[in-house]
Amino acid sequence: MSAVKRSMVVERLRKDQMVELLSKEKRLDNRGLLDLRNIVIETGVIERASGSAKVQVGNTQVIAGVKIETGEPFPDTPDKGLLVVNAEVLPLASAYAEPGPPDEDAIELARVVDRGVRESKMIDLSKLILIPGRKVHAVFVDVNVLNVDGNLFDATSYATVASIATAKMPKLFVDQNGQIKRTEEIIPLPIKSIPVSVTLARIGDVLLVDPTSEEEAVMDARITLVFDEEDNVCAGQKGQPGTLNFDQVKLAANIAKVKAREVRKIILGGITKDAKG
Amino acid sequence: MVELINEKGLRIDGRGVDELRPLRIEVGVLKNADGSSYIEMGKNKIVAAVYGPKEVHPKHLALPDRSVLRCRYHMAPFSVDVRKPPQPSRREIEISKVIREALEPALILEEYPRTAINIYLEVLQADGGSRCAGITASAVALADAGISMRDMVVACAAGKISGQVVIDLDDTEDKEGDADLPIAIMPNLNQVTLFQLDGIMAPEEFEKAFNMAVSACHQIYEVQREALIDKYFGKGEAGEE
Amino acid sequence: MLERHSVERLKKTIPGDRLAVIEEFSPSEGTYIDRDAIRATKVGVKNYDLKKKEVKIEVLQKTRKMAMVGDSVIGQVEATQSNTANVRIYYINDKRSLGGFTGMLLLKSDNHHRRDRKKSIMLKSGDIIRARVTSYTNAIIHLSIDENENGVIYTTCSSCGGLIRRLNQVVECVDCGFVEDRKLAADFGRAHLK
Repeated sequence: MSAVKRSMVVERLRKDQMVELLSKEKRLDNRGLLDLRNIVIETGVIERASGSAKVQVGNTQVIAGVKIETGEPFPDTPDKGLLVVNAEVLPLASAYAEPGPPDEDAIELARVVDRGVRESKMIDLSKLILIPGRKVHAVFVDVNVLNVDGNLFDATSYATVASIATAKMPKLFVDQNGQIKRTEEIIPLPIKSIPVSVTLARIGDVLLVDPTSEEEAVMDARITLVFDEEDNVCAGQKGQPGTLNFDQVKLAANIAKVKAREVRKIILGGITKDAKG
Repeated sequence: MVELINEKGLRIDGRGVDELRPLRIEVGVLKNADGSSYIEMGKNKIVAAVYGPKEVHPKHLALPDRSVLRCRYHMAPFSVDVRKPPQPSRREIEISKVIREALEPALILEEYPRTAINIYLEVLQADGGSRCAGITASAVALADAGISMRDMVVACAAGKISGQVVIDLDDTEDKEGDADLPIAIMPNLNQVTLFQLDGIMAPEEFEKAFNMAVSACHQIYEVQREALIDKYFGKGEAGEE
Repeated sequence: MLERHSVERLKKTIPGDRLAVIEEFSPSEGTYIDRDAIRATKVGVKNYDLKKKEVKIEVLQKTRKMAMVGDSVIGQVEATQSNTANVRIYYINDKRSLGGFTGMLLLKSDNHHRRDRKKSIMLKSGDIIRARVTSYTNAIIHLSIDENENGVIYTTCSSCGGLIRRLNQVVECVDCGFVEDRKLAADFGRAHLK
């Protein structure tokens, strides 16, 4: 993820070659500019977690696990449960990843994914209150990146969304003494929406979806957009030092909207498979 | 007090005293790593990756006559019942060290002077015996990376639960039992590379537990072999590249 | 059938497998001696050479991570001292290498037939070069750019950073006209990086 030890000059030479290829609308892996890689979503892979999902986007592999605990609400949102999304690019995921706390790239990754979940109102956080202002459900989503081959934003988002959508917890209640007790009943999280993230890269004058590591190494700019089921855009982030012109931003949003519908089917497929199991 | 062995001599999950949990090893599961493997041993689910030999950073840590071996055993926050904070705990740091020392005797590090070999273990789900499963998986990942090895390394625990000696303790048996004896061996060279003991055993129980752990290691070694042969020669029919 | 299957299986080896005793065979690639036995160090196929009385393992691993003598490497010059340069290696035999190894290049030619003896600025820091590994003494990768196909494949003007064009054995900056020495590779300006 971090760019240490990469030769800028080597990347520039490779970029020249890639720009030439892209001008013929070709990519190194023979995809069209707007073709996604194969997406595989498996849910319920970690029995000890409340919810979990393993996602492959091409050779990018991530695994997300949900833990639901109880905690105190934030003082400014006493009437809402907690949602924490954390992402780590494990040192086993690439020759460039190092052990240690998440770097700025991993923190940006987690925050952009968090924003999509939060702003789409995927989880009705107001339904996660046990004692108003004092005790709420806290939903922790931890995403581990196992193999990096580009587009961590979308892979992490799909894993996060699929693990939340399939998470289950024991129903809790507060007794007359104000103690929190658990019941035998197992319930899902209050899910209201399924957000879908789509990321594009600009390399030279070309916009392409679902960039690989090779493409990200030479991209000028990246843009991520997240959509709900009504095609509303609910979160976004531009990344990298390069720019996008006004038309490119609008074009990216239009492409992403259409691609999100395609991905939504795959996510829903991954979620429902778990339900029967 | 939990009854760990019933009157028929069966354990909570229905196993006999000398029976392993279901075991599965896969080779080459990560594209970027030089070598990798995935192991399921009971409820343990662990990914192992090897990077190297590569240049040492910082450079002054390089050794002129051999490679520097490093190991990181890490548990995913969702791998245990109560969420574990991502930063490494003292337990994870100690386990990283003993795993490294369990693998090092098997590696011909002199072949790779001034380099580093890194082993990364990520426990996606933890059960009893995760360090043993981690060692078994690491040895397979090292062989997959083509690092020269004197022998494989394979690990399994024996222990004492409800007054009886058993092998391959799961999480409950580990917590509720009387003793846990994880060992790692080089199966062809007959050497012990990891030895830890946690709990009380009589001398004859200790010897029995040790012998049972060694023979369990030999069973697991066959699974390592199958996994590597499957990866490099294909399953089933011989002669397939 | 069963018979044949087990013979095939017996050829397949993993580290630690006993291959022979030292009285009968001598050890070769992918093997080592453990007291009186020869054992495998790699996953692969056992190969007994009955004439030479040698046993080796034909290794099946995908790629080599360390450069070896004779390999062609592409790297970037990181620093130059008075008579050596450090080169970070990015490609070994045209395959991307992520090992992060550096090699050492002696900045004087062993090729006595070369006419230009001015070795002061054969290359500068930042240049991308193709080189050959000439030795691995003391675990240091020694590189040479003497051969015709080896040398600088990409560089910029050291005066203004502009693009450069080839003029026989020197290069000239397209922007500012500055002329300087470089040991250029035969395919300077046309090299393709994977």
